[in-house]
Amino acid sequence: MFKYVLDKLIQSFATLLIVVIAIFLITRATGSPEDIYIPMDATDEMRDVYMANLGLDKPLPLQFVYFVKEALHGNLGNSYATRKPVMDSIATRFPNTVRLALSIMLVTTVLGFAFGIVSTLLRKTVWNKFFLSFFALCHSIPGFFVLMIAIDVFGVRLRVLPIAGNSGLLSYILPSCTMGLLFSTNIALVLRNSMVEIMDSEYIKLVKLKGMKEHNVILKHVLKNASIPVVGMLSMMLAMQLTGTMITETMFAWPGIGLLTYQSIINRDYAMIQGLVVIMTLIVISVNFFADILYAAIDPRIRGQV
Amino acid sequence: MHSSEKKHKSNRFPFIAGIFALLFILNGIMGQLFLRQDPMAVDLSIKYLPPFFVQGGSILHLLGTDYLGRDLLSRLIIGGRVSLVVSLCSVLAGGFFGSFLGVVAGYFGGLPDKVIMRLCDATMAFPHVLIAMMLAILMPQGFLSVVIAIAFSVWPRFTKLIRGRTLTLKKSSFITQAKLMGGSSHRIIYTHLIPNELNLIIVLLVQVIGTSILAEAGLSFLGLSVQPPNPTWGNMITEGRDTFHVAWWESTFPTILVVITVISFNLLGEWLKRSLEPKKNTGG
Repeated sequence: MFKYVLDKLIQSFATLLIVVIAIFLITRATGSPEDIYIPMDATDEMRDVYMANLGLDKPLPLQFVYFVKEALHGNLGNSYATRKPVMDSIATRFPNTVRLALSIMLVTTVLGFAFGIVSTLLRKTVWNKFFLSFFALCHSIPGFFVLMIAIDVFGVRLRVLPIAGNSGLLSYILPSCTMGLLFSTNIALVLRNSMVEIMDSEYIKLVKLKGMKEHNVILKHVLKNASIPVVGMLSMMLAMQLTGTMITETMFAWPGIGLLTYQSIINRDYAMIQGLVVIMTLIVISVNFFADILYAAIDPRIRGQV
Repeated sequence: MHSSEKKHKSNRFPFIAGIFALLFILNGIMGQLFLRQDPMAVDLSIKYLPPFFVQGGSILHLLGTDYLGRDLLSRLIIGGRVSLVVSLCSVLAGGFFGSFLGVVAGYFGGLPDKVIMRLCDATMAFPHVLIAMMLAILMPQGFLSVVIAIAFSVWPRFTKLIRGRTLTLKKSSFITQAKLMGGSSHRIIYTHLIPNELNLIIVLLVQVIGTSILAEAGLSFLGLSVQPPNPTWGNMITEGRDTFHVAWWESTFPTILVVITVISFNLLGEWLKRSLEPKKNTGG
């Protein structure tokens, strides 16, 4: 187990390093801030001073070493647009993203399990087609169209729910219910497939032969084993939500890091983008790392095949 | 007996899905022959014209007009072609690149394998929309930047699948024999591995088309796809966002087409996948 954890740790670190190098090079290749933030009539000396202040006059490898060194101390540089530390902007926005992510995941998990279990129980009735079609529809509809309808119905026509910004608990309802509903069908389908597969297996047949009722079999034996792939999927979704879904946050003018990313790209605030990517990657990699460890703890077979 | 019959039955060719997919492709090839109106012609005197089956609609503009008075049906036809070309190009590019890396990683193992797998993980940890945004700054926004962005987000799926398959094939006797007979790596990869993996690649290609159509729509929403006034289905849904309460048809029709197309390709992909599984194909 120790060797497995160490191995995963090294892998995660290598992945992070690749992303940091990539984003460092990309932000420098996509143009220099002097093209955007300095007036056209500035003299060459003024430009030199500006670039020197940002540390952009040094050779690339030196800039990179400096960037990594500072990042390890929790300093991701200053935003080109607002001159404030990148870390501060992210820190003030991130809690909003976390809260929205958690409320979306709550709806996703509850609805996902409910849909999954009900659709499995009813798989031999006329409802089977209904559930499968519903899942297929939710998989193939552009999410922002559903958000658009939800906003139009509940925010514009009925005027019962706020549709922009984070102004208290009510603001969470619309984005988390809509996105949660869409995401939950992914969970439901995976859960259903895995439950059906397990129900065909020999040991469940044995339990049934012993005379246990189907509902009890499902709750006691099938669901527990069928949840394993679902846990993996939920952790993946959580990572995705924590990095701020740009579409949801843009749609609801939600003051999280997804909207911040969108705005930074429009402003060409490379320092901010660079910092955001480092933080987002760190989140995704840590969630994956803990999911891997959790898997290995549950399933001894995984530990062998590093 | 019973279960094999059931499996066989459940794997009928999905005809309706096949027809829709075919229509989608035919529309891309020769849709412009059926244009009744110029998709770019702006006529503000007829803006927000509803579809013909709603009161006030006109037979001239079967599905109505948008906020600039442009004919919706013509824009859907042209937009469908853009969506087809974008998704095909991005999926093919991502599939080619990803499969190639997968074979290399699986066949050679060792350091190349480690590097490629880390690249895969890095790509999957990197927010894909961000790549699209970077590309949009780096190059003229439009066709090429969307294709690269979507291709970038799909290649790891091919790499992981093909790497796994290569690892299995590598152990099989015919590859060992080819090696014993002195076949070069190059030759083994091209004459033995790739032909045996082509069916898997094709299945994944079809499965990913739906994802890429949706990805294009999402990027359109963020203004990162093919630029207006050129229509794509995603652009059309986005343009209808602000006018949804006066002209529901503007975003609803493109959404319906996206849903139908994505479902069709997903069903086709599932059918292809099942019919290639040897266990179920022989009837158990």
